[in-house]
Formats: sequence, C-alpha cells, structure tokens
Amino acid sequence: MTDNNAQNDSKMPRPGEPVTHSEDPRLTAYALDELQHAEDRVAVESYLDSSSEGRAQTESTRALADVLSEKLATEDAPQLSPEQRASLASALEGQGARPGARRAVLRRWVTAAAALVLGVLFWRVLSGGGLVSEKPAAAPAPTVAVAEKREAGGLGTHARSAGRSVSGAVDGSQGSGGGGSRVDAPFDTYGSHEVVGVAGGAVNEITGPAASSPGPQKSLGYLSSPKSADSDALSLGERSVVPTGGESYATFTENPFQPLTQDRYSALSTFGIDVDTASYSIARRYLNRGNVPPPDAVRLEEFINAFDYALPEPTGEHPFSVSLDAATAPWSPRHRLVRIGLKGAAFEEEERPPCNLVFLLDVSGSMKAQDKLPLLIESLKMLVRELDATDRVALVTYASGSQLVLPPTSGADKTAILAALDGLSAAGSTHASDGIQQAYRLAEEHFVEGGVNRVLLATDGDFNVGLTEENELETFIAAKAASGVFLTVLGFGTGNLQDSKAEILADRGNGNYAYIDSLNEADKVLVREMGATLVTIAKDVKIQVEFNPEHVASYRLLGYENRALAAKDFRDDTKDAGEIGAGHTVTALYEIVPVNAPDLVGAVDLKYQVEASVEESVPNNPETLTVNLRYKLPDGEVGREFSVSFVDREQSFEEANSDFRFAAAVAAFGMALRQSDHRGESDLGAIYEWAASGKGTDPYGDRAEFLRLVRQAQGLGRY
Amino acid sequence: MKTSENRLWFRSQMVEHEAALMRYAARITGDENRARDVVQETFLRLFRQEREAVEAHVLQWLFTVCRNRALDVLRKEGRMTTTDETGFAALQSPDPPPEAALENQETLERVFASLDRLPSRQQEVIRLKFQNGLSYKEISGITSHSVSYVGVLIHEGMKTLRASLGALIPEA
Repeated sequence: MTDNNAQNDSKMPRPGEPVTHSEDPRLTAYALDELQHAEDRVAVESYLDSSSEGRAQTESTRALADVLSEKLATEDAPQLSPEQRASLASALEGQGARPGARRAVLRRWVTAAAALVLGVLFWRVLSGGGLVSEKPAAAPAPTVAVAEKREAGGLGTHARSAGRSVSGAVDGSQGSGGGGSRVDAPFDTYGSHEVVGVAGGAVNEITGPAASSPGPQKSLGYLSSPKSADSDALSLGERSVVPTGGESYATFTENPFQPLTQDRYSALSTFGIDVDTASYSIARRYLNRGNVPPPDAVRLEEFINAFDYALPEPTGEHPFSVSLDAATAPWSPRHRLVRIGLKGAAFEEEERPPCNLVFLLDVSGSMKAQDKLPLLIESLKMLVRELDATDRVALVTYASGSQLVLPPTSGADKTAILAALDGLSAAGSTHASDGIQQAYRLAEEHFVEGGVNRVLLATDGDFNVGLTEENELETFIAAKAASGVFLTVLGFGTGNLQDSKAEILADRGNGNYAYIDSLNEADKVLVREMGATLVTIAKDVKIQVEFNPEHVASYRLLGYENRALAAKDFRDDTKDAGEIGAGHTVTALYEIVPVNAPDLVGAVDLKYQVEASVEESVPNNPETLTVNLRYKLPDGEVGREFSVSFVDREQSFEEANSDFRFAAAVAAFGMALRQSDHRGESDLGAIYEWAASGKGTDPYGDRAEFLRLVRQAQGLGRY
Repeated sequence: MKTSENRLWFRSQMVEHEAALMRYAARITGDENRARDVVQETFLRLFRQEREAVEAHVLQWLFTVCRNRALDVLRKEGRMTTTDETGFAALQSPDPPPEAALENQETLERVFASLDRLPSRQQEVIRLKFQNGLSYKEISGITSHSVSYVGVLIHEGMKTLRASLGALIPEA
C-alpha cells in the first residue's frame, strides 16, 4: 500500500515523460542506478545530453552517495545486551532441538493475537500518515520477548554448538553415501575423501623428480631443435589501484590467449599457486547487498579456489597430488578446458602439529561496526574452541598504540582466552605502533619446532601496524617468513578494505588472505579448513605447463594474473610463490584453442601452405601438455620437482565429472562479473545450469549458496 | 525444527544485522532501551520463519518488522503524533565520539549534522539507502511509500545535502 501525499504528486513524473529540469527525481534515480522504467533512461539521457547542469548534478550526486555510504557505515550503534543475545541464541537453539518448545510458543501466540487485534485498532487511529504503516505485522508474535532458557556463555556457547553440529550432520550424510573413508575430526578440513578419479582418461602418472640438470627452465620435451631461449611466459598487466568507496582493488588485465609461436618457449606457461579465497567472499558481500562488485575485485583463481573439489590423496613422496582432466569449454565449444588440481595431504586430528598462534587485532574506532570487531571476536572464538593443551594463543591489539591483551596461553585454558576476546572493544585511531614487531616477537619467543607458528592479522584495512615506510612492512614480513613464522590476513567489514595490500602482505608472509563476511565464512576458513589455513605442507609451489604445439594452437590461464612468473623463475628458488595447506585443494584452469579448431570454417582450403609441417618433423606424441611442479617443504630451502603428463581424450562438457562442471561454472561466473571479453557464449542462465549440474553432494551448502548468488546477480539485470 | 546449518545462518543474520537494526530502531523510538526490545523481538520473529521463505529478501524483511515493532512501541506509549517530523529523531550518542583522525572526524560530524537537519522522512530513506544499501524498491516495501515517492524523498534530501556538504564532496 502506498501513501498518497497530494502535495508530492506534482513531483512524481510519469514513466517515459521527458525530463525538463534538474528538479526531476529521475535524475537522482539515474545517478544511483535506480531508474524503475527502461523508458526513463532514454528520457534522462537525452536531457543530460543537452544540459551540462544536469551532468554536473549527476556526478555530484554519485560523489555524495560515495561519501554517505562510507561515512554512515562508521556510525555508532547501540548494542543488544548480553542477556538479550543469550536469550535469542537459546531461542534459536530451542528451534533445533526441542520439539516441545513449539507448543509453548503457540500458546503464547494465542494470547498475543488478542493483544495484536487491539494494537492494530489503536494504530489505525493514530496513523494519519507520517511514519505509520498499514501493513500488518509479518507474523503474530508474543508481545513480550521471553527467554525460555538461559545458558551461560551467551552467544559463544551457541556458536560452538551450531558450528559443531554442522560437522556432525555432514559426517552422517557422508557415511550413508558410502565408499569414502572419512577422518572424523575438526581438522579434517575437507568433506569427502571419496576419490572421484580423474575422468577423461588422463595419462596421470607421476614421472618422479625431474632430471637433475641444473638450469632455470625445464628442458622442452616436445620440440628438439634449439632456437632462441628466454621468454617471459606471461607479462603482468600494469597494476594500479582503483578506490571504490573507501575500498581499493588493484586493477589488472586478464590473461590473453598466448599463441604457440616460432619461439619455442612460447609453449611454457609459468605461475605460482594462489590459495586465497577473499575475492569470492568480497563479491558475495556486494551481491548479497544488491550491488555490483567492482570488476577488479573479482579474481578468477580465488573464485575457483573458494570451493572444495574431490581429488585423490597424495600417496607418494610428494606432499600433494596432482590430477588433470579436460572437457569442452562450455562457453566456447571449440575450445578445450583443462583442469589442474592439486591436493595437499591431510592429517588425522592426533597428528595435527601444535599451534603457536599470535592474533594481531585491529581495534581502532573503525572496527566498531557489527560486521567487524564483533564478527571477528565470534570468529576467533570458533577457532579457539578447536585448540588444545599443545597449542599456545596470544593476543595483541593495535589502535592508538599496541597492547598485549593476552600473553601466550595454553589452548586448554579456554576460559582465559575467551574472556580476553570478550573484553575487546574498538576505540581510538590507528597510527604507528609496534604491534607487528610485538606479534612476531611473541611468535618467535614461543617458536615450536615442527609446529605451526603463525601471526593472524585481522583488520578492516588499516595496516598501520608499526612499520610505515614504503615496503618496510612487506620486507619485515618476508624476512620473518624466512625464519618460519608465517602470516594469515583476515579481512573484515566494508568501506576501508585495502584488498591488494592485504593480498601482497599475505604473499610475502608465506600466508593466506581470507575475507570474513559472515559467521559461515569464519566457520569455513577457521574451523572446517583450519588445517589449510594454518598448516603449510609445501611452500613456494610453482607450476610450469609445457604445451604440445602438435595439439595446442594457443592457451589462456584463467586468473592467477598477479601470480605470473617468468619461465626462468621456475627453478629460481629465491622467487617466492604460493603455499599449500593441509588438506587444501588448489585448482587452475587453462582454456586451450586446439590446432584443429575449425575457427575458419567458412574459409577456402589453403593452397600454398602444406598442412602438418610440425607433425612431419617430430614423432607423433599424443600428450597435450605436461605439468611441471616445483615446491619446497615448509622448512626447506631447496626446491623439489616432479611432473605429470596429460592426454586429452576429447571428453564433452556433459561427460565431465561434476566437480569439473562446477569449477567451469564458477570461472564463467567470475568472467561474467568481470565483464570479460573471454566469456564467450556464457550467460548467467547457462552458468546456473552448469553449476546446478555440478552441484554434487555439497555437504556444507557452499555450492547451493553459489547458485543463489548467480540468481542474485541475474536479479541485478547487469550481466 | 531447523537444521544446524540453518541455525548457523540465522545466527549470522543476528551478527550481521544487529547494528543496522539497532540504529534504525533507536532513531524511530528515540531510546536505546526501547530499541533493544524492538530488535530482540524482530530477531525472535525472524527465527520463527523458514530460512527459504525469508532468505532472498532478509534485509527488507528485518527492516520492515523492526519498523512496525518500533512504531508499535511508540503508539502504545502514546508518543506517536501524526506530523511528519516525529519518530525519526536525532539520537544523542551517549558515548563521546571515538577519537578518530581529526579531519575525518570533522567530515563525519558535518555529514551527521546535515543529515539530522533533514525532514525525518528524507532522513529515514537516505539512511536506508546509503547506510544499509537498500534499493528504492526495498525501501518502498519497508516504509510503504510508493517507489516514486521514495525517489522524490531521496532526490530532495540529496539536493539539500549537496548544498550543505558541497565542499566535502570530491570533485568528479
């Protein structure tokens, strides 16, 4: 129902009516992307074409919108009392566990309904306009909020039980699924261990440590005539930082197709792995709020790696396995899509190395928002509950100065740790302090040989942790990583996030960067994937793919733009690359244009060029490509190497396994959000179908959520 | 009966939206304690919903219920008047403002001061739009104003703010 304020009718133009003056509210709606009728866009744009005043107003409205969004996000908010939170949490628990509670609620509804009738009457009398709504309340409800059961520990207790029961339910469902061996422990970070097998008839043998010949590059297996050396496989698009509101995302250019040319080394593609997933949660945050994510916030590899894929456990001497499969690229049916999957060794709970964790927490005023410090505290509580007596936790905060809130404390003393977390509050500005030095000093003082030694930096974007000179912080963190203390960066909140900075720091610190936008994400990163987040099993993992020009005309790596390495850096052990965590899966996708791709279907046959000159000179090799891997053990200095070769069996997309289809859909969604030139024939409807067909068992609901996001993006009407 | 995964989702809604709803309820009721009761009640009602029924538009749902409950409270206490200017009041912050960087603080204060001077209907929709990221359509659903009237309110409010905050708006 709408209110009719006669005095305002004159200000409300009819859809499609020409815009004649700057007082037309459609100008503001246009600037805010809120026009309700397509014909109004034409009306507004034709007015703007002729009015410089209108254009200036549009710009100014947008700038003001940014200022308002940024500033209003920092406004103080009163909070519920701890008792109210506890009572809400127990009300929610009651809905899961005790069927009897329903009846009690129902009884109260009956009395409440009577009160409601009176209430509505009264309301009508008073509602002469103004703020009063005629809409009936959404549901009958008790007039008094009643806490049926109070439990000590409030929110925290319930967060724990909720988080725990999630894994319980999953264990059950997978048990009945049959087949998969399952390690039933919080540290088993990935659901099913069921090995789906590498479909597509991959030649999937591990050829063992490569020939020990030193030298920066792999020798080329497919072509033998010596020619020019040294080419950088990929060049990095220039990086600059674009502010979005108060947030900043580094701009980057997507990897283009790289043709295999006369230059023999054009057959090599080299990059360091990336295990971060922040980009996906950031995009999810935008979409959930009905906003379009900035294209530069979308990194394909982080989208793909935000999901877990079933891959075989490593069995040999290397701490991770490599699997390959391929199928038709769904968005470009003449192209092939090759998936490279790495899976890090998981461990049983009792094998988990002891953790020496130092939390370095931003408690400046800007962290006050509910999706920042309060969410951070709840998130860390979830992690702390997984720890035991072999672990140590310390807490350092930084704002106007740094403060040691909790000295290194046994993981068994949960009361002390949880109390310290509960005592945190946000106030003050961030400026230089020695927080970061203090955090690393604590981690080093309590260094555990063979254990997890890690600083977890949680912030909404202020990295004024004590080192202010340009690059000083990066250098410091890199040096500490060399000494064995690694870094995890946890991003929180909106409006202030220095996305690229967070990612760079995590890279330098041999660590990872996750963005926590909800308790669900915290549960995923800090509980379900705790091993992957905290326990590194291989560091500086590099991939160098050699394509066989017999079969491959050109290739394109999806994502990993800021992980590109020069071909010669592959065996340069001083060059930093990404880490794999325990139980972690890392996926890379290549889109390949096969040599026989009939891209020129309408053209005549060539008269002057004889086909297949390459095939004549080289014995026919069925392999499509070889993946070379180089990594170091967590405490190692020298790289180790192995390789896996792959033959593409021309599998269609429909024949590919569900993980493959899902990963392809996620990549296509990322390309859609980036408005990529490479998105081909994909639209959101098709992407939804691909993802739905690859949803699989989805024990944690992550893939179902992805499907919802695709729908959400469709609703925006932008893609 | 909710699955544990769904309970976690409901809990997340609480963590994520408590602050936004508290601000909104406090604006309408002009009182933090009343706001607390209103928001608690709003979440209790949310918990009685099926996740599937509310998930797609949960923010709009929460704001709508919160608004209705808050007006209910005012009405019961006989404090509701029929003029346009009641309800969405400037709320005195009980705490001194955080000692954020000074120039930033100045900007903040000017933004809030200018906003507080707007007529309450404009204030309300502008906060819903920019503080909570809601669309015209969602705001229309929450406030029961028509979508075009929401457009008029935001347009007028923005006009006043552009004039009073001119210097703070970065040059395009």
